[in-house]
Amino acid sequence: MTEITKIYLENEMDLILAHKRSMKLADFNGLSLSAQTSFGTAVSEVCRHVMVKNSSITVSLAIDHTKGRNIIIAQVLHTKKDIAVDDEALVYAGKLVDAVVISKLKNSYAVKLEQKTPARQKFSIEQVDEWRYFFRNEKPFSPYEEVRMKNIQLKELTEKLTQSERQYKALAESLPLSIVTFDEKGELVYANKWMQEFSGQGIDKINDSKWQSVIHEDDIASIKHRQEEQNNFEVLQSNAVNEYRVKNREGNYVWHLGSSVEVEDENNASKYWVGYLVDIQAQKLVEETLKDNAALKEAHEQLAHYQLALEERIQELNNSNFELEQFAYIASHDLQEPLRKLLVYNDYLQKKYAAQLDADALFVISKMNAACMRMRNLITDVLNFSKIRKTEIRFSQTDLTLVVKNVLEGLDQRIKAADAVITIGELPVIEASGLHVAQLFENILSNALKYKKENVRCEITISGEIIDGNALIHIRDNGIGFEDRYGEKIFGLFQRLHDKEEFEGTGIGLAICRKITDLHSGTVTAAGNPGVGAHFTVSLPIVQGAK
Amino acid sequence: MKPRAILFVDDDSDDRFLLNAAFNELGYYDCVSYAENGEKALHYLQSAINTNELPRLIVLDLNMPKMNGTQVLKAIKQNDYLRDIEIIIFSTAINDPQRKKCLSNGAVNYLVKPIDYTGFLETAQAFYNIAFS
Repeated sequence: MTEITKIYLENEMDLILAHKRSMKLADFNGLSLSAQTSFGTAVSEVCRHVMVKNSSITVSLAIDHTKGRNIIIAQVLHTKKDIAVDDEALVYAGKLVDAVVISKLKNSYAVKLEQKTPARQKFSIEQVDEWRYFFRNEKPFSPYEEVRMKNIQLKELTEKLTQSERQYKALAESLPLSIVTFDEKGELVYANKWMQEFSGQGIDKINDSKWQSVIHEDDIASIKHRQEEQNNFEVLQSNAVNEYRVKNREGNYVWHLGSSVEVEDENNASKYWVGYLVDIQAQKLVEETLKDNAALKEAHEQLAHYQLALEERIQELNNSNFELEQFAYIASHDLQEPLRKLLVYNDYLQKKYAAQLDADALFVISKMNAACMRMRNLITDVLNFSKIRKTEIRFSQTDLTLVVKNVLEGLDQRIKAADAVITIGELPVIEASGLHVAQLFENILSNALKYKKENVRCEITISGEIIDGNALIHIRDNGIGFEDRYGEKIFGLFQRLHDKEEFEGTGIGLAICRKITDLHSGTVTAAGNPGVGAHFTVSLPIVQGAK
Repeated sequence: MKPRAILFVDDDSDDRFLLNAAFNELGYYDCVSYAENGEKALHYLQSAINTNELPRLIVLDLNMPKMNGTQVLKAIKQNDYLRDIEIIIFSTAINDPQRKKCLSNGAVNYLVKPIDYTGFLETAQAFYNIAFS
């Protein structure tokens, strides 16, 4: 069905127009004058009947082209359903035209009048356009008609505009991004559904807070900072694309990309802006992750660099340690030889020439001899210290009770000399280098015997316990003790707390102890109390290499 | 040089002097021959084989240039003419593995050099006792 023209009917005058146009369409299609009149009368009669029940109706005049001939159609559209084919007007119309059909459309009802035209009529688009043109430009036959036509055109335009507006609004509402319009003060005029749902805030709330309830204060601050003299909204209003953190309804900030365009009305007067905010959180996250990754990578590289430097330093240290040990070994070994000669010749001098020397000379010789002996002890100890190396240590199951008992046997003479009472508890069996732990206990016990109080019987207690996989051996004595602040110092090489005249010694014994516990991944510590005694604690792992 | 009962092999002139002094002080003269290193000791022993005047005791220092004590010990023990001569190692080194090795290679004793003259006197007496038992 091809519509040629449409007529809105509101009154009698409109009926006349409908009648007139129906006749004209029949005329165009080659119908005889009587047939034209019949069609026009049928149309006007049906319209009149329908108009009684409807305030306004439309009649659409159209052409259908089937089976090589045209059919002219008048379709009356109305909204009341109580129009029936047996209504008098419709029965009458049925006698004037080929067919009268009633049908229900989507939102309206239609009465359709059909009239066949002579077979010779051709149907073409050009022809249809020509007819349409005719009706559109038909001279109004009265001033009323003119006003009315203008009215109709206006009504159609309004309808189109409303429809277009409705479409845009529907589009704006359905898009998954925030669309807003705001005025020169930054006041929101419109915010789409997404914006309101996303932020959980209505236009009023956003306006009341001057956007601060939705946009992160830092972002507003940075905008302020950038454009000190302008107000916040001028930045929003600029066409520049900016990134903002927008608060969602859960109160979390989500990165958005925002932009706005200025829209002017026809008079260039009141301005407003249309803007959008689109979620770029994912993109931002990827960026951040990449940045973090880069930072991480850099940190990693830095770390690797430090590690390498550290390893180099450790290697250097190991080398220098090894060299030092080598030096200590060779030096002490080679120093021993000339020292031995000094001792022997001293003795030779003393024995062979004693008769020829006076008391002073003999005293000097004895002093030289004592100095040589001290030096010899020192060299021996340094040599022993340097001999204790990781590579020299072999671990095996070691019964510490046995080790300590053997050490005490070796110290038998000195124990007797000191009149010492030694109590030994049961000590654990651990994985250790027996030779070295023997030396460790010998050094500590020798000290206990050496630093005894005069005129007081020396008492030494040795006890053991196991705590967290470590064997703890306590060696307590009632000797002269020492000030607690020296508890760590005494384990240093050549560290002595007493004059050589008071107590002999090289200051290496406890350094050797520390070295031995270090090589066993253990510890040795000391606590002292002047005039009361000393308490040494040796801690050694029960199993080596167990972490 | 007249062959003597004891051959003292040591590159250290002090030790040679002190041992000699000790022997003299004990009143034992002309019983020690001295060699400054292993090579000279073996030359001496070769000529002693030829004249059939072998020493009764050889005292060997270990740390010597050219040929050390261990090498000399091996050479002597491989020589049919010399292997029965008693050998004492006389060294400054208190080294247990080395001591064991020397004893297993045929040395009868391993003595550490004394640190006083008295020790030298005792050592000289001990050597004399072995050489003239």
